[in-house]
Order: sequence, then structure tokens, then C-alpha cells
Amino acid sequence: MAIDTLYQEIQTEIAKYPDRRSAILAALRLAQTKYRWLSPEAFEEVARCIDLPVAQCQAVASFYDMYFLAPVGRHVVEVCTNVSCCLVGAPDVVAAFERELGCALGETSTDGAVTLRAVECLGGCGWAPVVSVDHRYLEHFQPGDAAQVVADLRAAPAEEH
Amino acid sequence: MSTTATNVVTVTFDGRDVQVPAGTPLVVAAAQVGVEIPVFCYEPRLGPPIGACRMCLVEVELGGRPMPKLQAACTMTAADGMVVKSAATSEQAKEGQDAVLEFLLLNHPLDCPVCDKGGECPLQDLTFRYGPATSRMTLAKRTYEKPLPISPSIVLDRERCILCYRCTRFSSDVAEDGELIARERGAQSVIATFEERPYVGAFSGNVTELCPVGALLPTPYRFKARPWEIVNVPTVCQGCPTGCNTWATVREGRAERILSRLNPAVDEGWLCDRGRFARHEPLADRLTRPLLRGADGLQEISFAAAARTIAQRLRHVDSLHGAGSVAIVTGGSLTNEEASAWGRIAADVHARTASGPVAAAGAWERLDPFAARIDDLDRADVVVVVGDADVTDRAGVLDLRIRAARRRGAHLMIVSSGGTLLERDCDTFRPVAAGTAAASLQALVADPGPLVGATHPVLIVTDPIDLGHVAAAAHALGLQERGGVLPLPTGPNERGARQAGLAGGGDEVLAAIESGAVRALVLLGVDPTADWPEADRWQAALAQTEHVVTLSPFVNTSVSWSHVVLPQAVDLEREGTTTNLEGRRQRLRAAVKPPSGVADLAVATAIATHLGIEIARTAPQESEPPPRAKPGRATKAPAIRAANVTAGRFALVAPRGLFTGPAVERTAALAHQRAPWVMLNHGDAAALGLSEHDRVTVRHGGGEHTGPLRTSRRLLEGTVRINWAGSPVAGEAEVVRA
Repeated sequence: MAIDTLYQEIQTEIAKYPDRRSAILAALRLAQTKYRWLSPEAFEEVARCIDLPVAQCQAVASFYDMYFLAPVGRHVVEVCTNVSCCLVGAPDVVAAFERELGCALGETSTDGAVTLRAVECLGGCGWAPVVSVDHRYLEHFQPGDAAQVVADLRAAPAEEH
Repeated sequence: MSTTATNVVTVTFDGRDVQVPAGTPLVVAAAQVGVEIPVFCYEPRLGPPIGACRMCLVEVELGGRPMPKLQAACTMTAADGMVVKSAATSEQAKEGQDAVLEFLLLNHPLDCPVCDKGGECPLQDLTFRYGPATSRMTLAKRTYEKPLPISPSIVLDRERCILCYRCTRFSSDVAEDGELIARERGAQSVIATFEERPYVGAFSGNVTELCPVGALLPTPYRFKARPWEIVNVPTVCQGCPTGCNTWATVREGRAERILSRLNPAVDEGWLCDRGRFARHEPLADRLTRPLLRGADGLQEISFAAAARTIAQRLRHVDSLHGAGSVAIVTGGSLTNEEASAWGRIAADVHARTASGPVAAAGAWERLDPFAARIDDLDRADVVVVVGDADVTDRAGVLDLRIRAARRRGAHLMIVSSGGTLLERDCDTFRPVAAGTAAASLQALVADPGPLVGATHPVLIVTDPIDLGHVAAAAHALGLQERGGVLPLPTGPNERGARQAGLAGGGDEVLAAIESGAVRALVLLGVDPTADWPEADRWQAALAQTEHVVTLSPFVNTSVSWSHVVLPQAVDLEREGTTTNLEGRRQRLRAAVKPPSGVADLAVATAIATHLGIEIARTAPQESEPPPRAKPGRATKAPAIRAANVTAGRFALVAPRGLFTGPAVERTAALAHQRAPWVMLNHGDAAALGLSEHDRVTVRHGGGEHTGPLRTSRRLLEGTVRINWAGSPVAGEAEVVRA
């Protein structure tokens, strides 16, 4: 049964820590892998599996950029818009992606292929601007690179998150 | 914390020396020498300080070297030789404090004139006393949708919130319900509930008192009063036998709000939502005049006539039918003084009496050799809770104290059929079949688990079982020499009524009525057809009794079977004392007048006078719980009847919850706390093809209960748990999809 797979996986994570609360990030990641995004129902399932109040699961998830609190497309493009990336052109990168995808920041292209998000520091300040495509970094990203990335993603199969 | 000479340190605040134990937060040490350091987030009852608001910035010098930055005096702890300068003497600290206040006010609407917190608001007070007179903020302030109800009893104004996290810390670290959270991050952070669902939790209202600004306010008090128009009357909650101390906020003769009133030995300044929000309103529903049944039904009569009639009938029945033909029954809602007057009346007319539903479960003196006080939980190294009912159902804030004991390191052991509130984070969970608390106690004696070697264990039995079982187990576990048992009476002043001469159980009285021995029944503030088990039998018993006298605040089933009815005053309307579960006598003060205008004690005294009894007026006296009684001989536990559940049916767990009773039912602000639910074991639900939130009906002896399904992995298989709000039921039930 699908539910019990997630339950078992989360129990495995809980066993790694002295306190089950510590497994909350891993549990949320497992649920996101299963459902692609963290819906209210997914939060409730995680809360039952880890035996914590559901609001606590949402509180943690909403703090981090790595959890999707709304449905996402088959691929996710994340542009760092923190200080270092911003200084070397991140706003132009965002604009280029918006143009190529025909959707605004935070939205998914109408064909459902790509979700465009702005994220906090990806830890790549030395190689700014940084773009993360399905969790793989593209460094020193130039606005002109966006067209090729979008074309490739539209042709590629869905990625796990 | 040890205070031996070795770890006492000397700290200087603004030139004044103070000696405190090492590790004392600077804000606390400073207060001891009269140096005030303003705070918003610091609240020791919420656990370790978190330094969120930065209001308490001070300049600190240690070992002759100034610390490079201002320090938060809540998280910085005292160390020997520390020299601390508050904003009163340090220009740098003053500048820091001004900056923090200016920052906290950046997005704060400063709408004090229309804010209910205005006049009682730490942010307003501290801004006035310490803050800059002007702001450099010229941009538009951030706005949010407001007011946002986070439940029918609490409204949230996110614009006013300064994100001190007191409320979320209460929810996650004190009540441990985890319902109130900070969502998002940084400047986007907002206080929220999951998916904007109502904050359901027995203690949610405490966040409205913890909030140091006007962000979380009690809905029923919105726009009701300004602080200069109100009088706060100190009294004691009569919602359960804990006896939490409260302030009743009165404006123009109406009690508009209930606040907690710190009594460290009883409530630690917490109050449950029943105590805070349940009101005996609307006043239009209240009985205000005595009623006498005549040819045309119940007709209003004067208090004098009612007192005379009652006295005559009781005297008449007693002299005609002899001892035991009158029964005087209370549910523990009388004051000690009223109970004493009625106790004298009962003795005079040779009445049978009852102070609670079940005689054997109300003989609290059997626990006297093991009596624990509420604050024994603070010293407990092991806390054992036995029974299917939640502690919250029986004595609200005791639940918080047990949680605090567990966080402090006490071993928490739960013995129940599962699905209770305390078991999620307990150290030992011992699952037992539903309704087997008595057998579980015997099993506990045979296998005491964490009680072996415990020096101060506290035992709590939440199910209303024969106290012979509890006394026998307590004796066998040696609780007369270590720790003790906390009794959980059914009614708020059940102990007081018992001591005043109204001892006995409703079950005995019911049997006597059915045998035809009782000809007159006096119901003092209890409706056995709603509050007690065997509702159907009680209703038949009322129907067959010649004279039924009822004292009640509202019309209820018992009133409709009565021949004489007296209006009853409720907790906020009465003077006197009440005895809580540990035997502490506390003072009740009338915050408002009863709608009848006549005190219940005056009516009882008038009845007594007609009977020739003189009730002397005595000043209400408060007192500490009595000292523990001398250990008696070992008692033999009563026999235990095994309960068997028919195949295909479920063992029913339906304890009478905290949010039940006529006042709660009439309080809109508590409707969400009473929303019905049904709990099944995870596997049982799957076997029935039911999943979470499916609507499920449970059919049982008391009727039907329908609600969304909750699944639990700890609730024992073959058990169904419901929050049935009717008269207490147990036994077995059928579970079907609604």
C-alpha cells in the first residue's frame, strides 16, 4: 500500500535521531518526492507518520526554499536573487526566464513544463549569478543562456524533486 | 537550581551590586536591585529565553573588558564580576533600545485608540516610557487582511504583531498542541494555523494574555470595554475541581472577560478555554424567579413562598415516611457555605445525600493517606496517569503541569486504551483494554515499571472508578511514604459538598428512588439526566418521585420534572469559598449580581430557618490543603468485573469532556472545541474501508455520534473513542460509515 511505503521510509529516518522531531526535514523531503509538492493532504500524511502536529510540519516547510508549497511543473528553475547574484545580474536572468517561459516568477509555464522560482542564497556566491535547474547548478549564468535551458527542459522527461 | 556559595555570583547593575545564582538571566537579576530592563518576548513560563524581540539590550562588561556589542539581557546569564549598564545609565544601551522600538514599530499600525489592548499593552507602555517620540519611517506600512479569526474565540491582527513568538512557544512548548505556528520566514513571517483552520486546543486562550501587543485578542471581549471603565474582581473558576484563580473583568455590572490570576500552587497563571470563555449566558435563558408546579404547570412564586414550601414538603415527607425518604443531591456546584447549609438541612430531615454520580468513586477520604498536592507534580520524578479519560477532561490545567514535569525530566507513564492527549510524548505507554483502569492498577502493582526506585511518584486516575482500587494500589506501591495520589473529583466543589455533610453517590440515591424509598428529591445544581450516567433511569426516577425540587441556572430536563424550582447563581455571581481537588479552600467573589437578585445562600438559610435550624453567618476562610492523613491499614481492592466486547462491535470510550455542560453549550466561542470526532485504530479503519476525515457514525447505548474519522496507531484495536458531549456512556458500540 502506497501510504505505508512512505510511513516505513519515515520510520527509517526517525530511527536515525534521538528525537523524532529531528526527522521532519527528511520526512517532508520523502513526501515531496512522492507527491512532487507538499499539499495540505501531504502535510497531514507526514504529520501522522511522524506523529507531530500538522501545523509544525507546515511551519518547517514554509521556512525553507527547498519545499514546494504549491504544485510545480515537470521541471523547476530556481534563480538565486540574494545580494551577490543580484549585483551581477540576477534580475536580468529572471526577466530572461520569464520571457522564455511566458510566465511570471513563482508561476509555471502554461504547458506545465517549467516552474520558475526565486530562491535565497544557493551558496554559490563565487560563481554568481547561480541558477538551479532541477537541483543542478548552472553558474555564471547569463540571460542569453535561458532560451537553450528552457528548450532542453521542454524536451526532457519529468525530474524527481 | 542549587544556590551553594560556590555558584553565587555578584553582578553590578547601574552601580548596584546583586548576588544571584550563576545562570540567572540578567533581566531577573536586575529586577532584584530595582533596575528595570524592558522585555517583550521574555516569559519564564514558556521555557528558556529566545532573545527574539531584542528589547532588553544592555551594555555588559566582563572581566574588565566591555563586550563588543549590546547583549540581550534575557539570554545573557549572570557571571561573576559582570558589570551591566541598562538604558538608564548607558547611552549605547539607550540608543539600542530606541532603535529596537523604532524597528518594532516600523510596521505596527499604532492604532492604540481603537485597539482593545490599548491601556493594557506592554508595547504601548514601553514605547511611551522608553521609546523615541518620532519615527523615520515615511514609507507605507505593510498591511494584512484583518482581523483574522484563528478560531471562534481568538482574533489575530498581523499588522500589530511584533513576532515575539510568545504565542507559538506557548502552543509548541507549554500546551504542546503545536497548532499555532510562525509561517514563512524573515519579514514574511506571520502567525498562523495550519490552512487557517481554527486553533483547537483546550488552552488556546492563554495566547491572548501572553501577547504583549494587540495582535491576539479574545473575540468575545472585542470592543467591549476600555481599561479605565473596568473593575477586575479576583475570584476562582468553577469549571472543574482544579480551582484556577481568575480575574473577572466587569464593566457596568456585566462580566465581559475572564483572565488568569497567577497562583503558583494551583494554576501557574494558566487557564483553560472553558474557564476563560464558557459563560452562563444569554441572561434571557436564565431562571430568575422561583417556580411552583400547580394546575397550570410551573408558575412564578416569591422566594419567601418557595423557601416555605420546600421546608414544609421536606418536613412533611420526612415525618410521614421516615429517614431516607428525602434525598438531597449535588454535583459539586455549591459553595462550601451553601453546601454546609444544605448539609444541616439534610441532617435535619434525615436525608440520603450525594455529592457526585458514583458513591464508590467519590469517597475521596480513602485517598487521604496518599493525598498529593497539585505542586507535587513539580517535584515528581515519575508521573503515572491511569485511565481512558484525558486529564484535561477532568481537571484542565493539570495537563499543562504534567507536561511541564515531563519536560523537566520526570518519567511520564500512561496506562490507557490509547488516543489520549498526553501519550504522544510520554516515556512509557502501557496499552490496556478500554474500561479496565481498576485491573490496570493491579497490574501496575505487579509490574511497577518506572515506579521502581522512584522517590516522588504521583499517581493520577482519570476514570471514575471505585476509589478502593486506587487506595489499594497506592498502598501497595508505598505512596503513603513517597509521592502520592492526586484525586480528580467530578464536580468543582465535590470535596467541599462531601465534607459539608452531603456525602454519598447518585447511584445509591437512584437505586433508593427506584425501590420506592425516596419520596422527595432535591437536585442542587445538577441535572442527573444530562451530567451523570444512567440518564434514562434518572429520567424515569424523576417521573416517579412525588416531590422534586431543583436548583438550576437554566431550564433543563430535571427542571421540567420538578415541582419547585429555584434559580441558581453561577460562579461569577457568588460569594463564599470552594474546595479544590487537593482540598484547598479558595475564596469566590461575586463579580456580578445573580439575575435573580437573591443569593443562593440566603435561600438555603431561609429554608433552614423554616425547619428551625439556625445558620450562623461566618466569614469565608481560605486555607491550604490539609496535611496528609496518617497511613491506615492496607485495604482490600474490590472485585473487578471483566468487560467483554461482542464480536464485530467496538469497546466504547466516551469520557465526559471538558467542553460539556449548559454554559459551554451556550457559548459560541467554544463551538469549535466541541466539534464531534470519532477515533479508530489505524488498522481497524483500514479494515472498515475508512480513511481519515471520512464521516463515521457510532451507535451506542446513549444514542448516536457522528463525526469525521481520526485514526491513531496507539488507540487499541477494537476500540472506538469519541468526544460524546451527552451524559456519560460506556460499553460497546457499532461503527458505520455515515
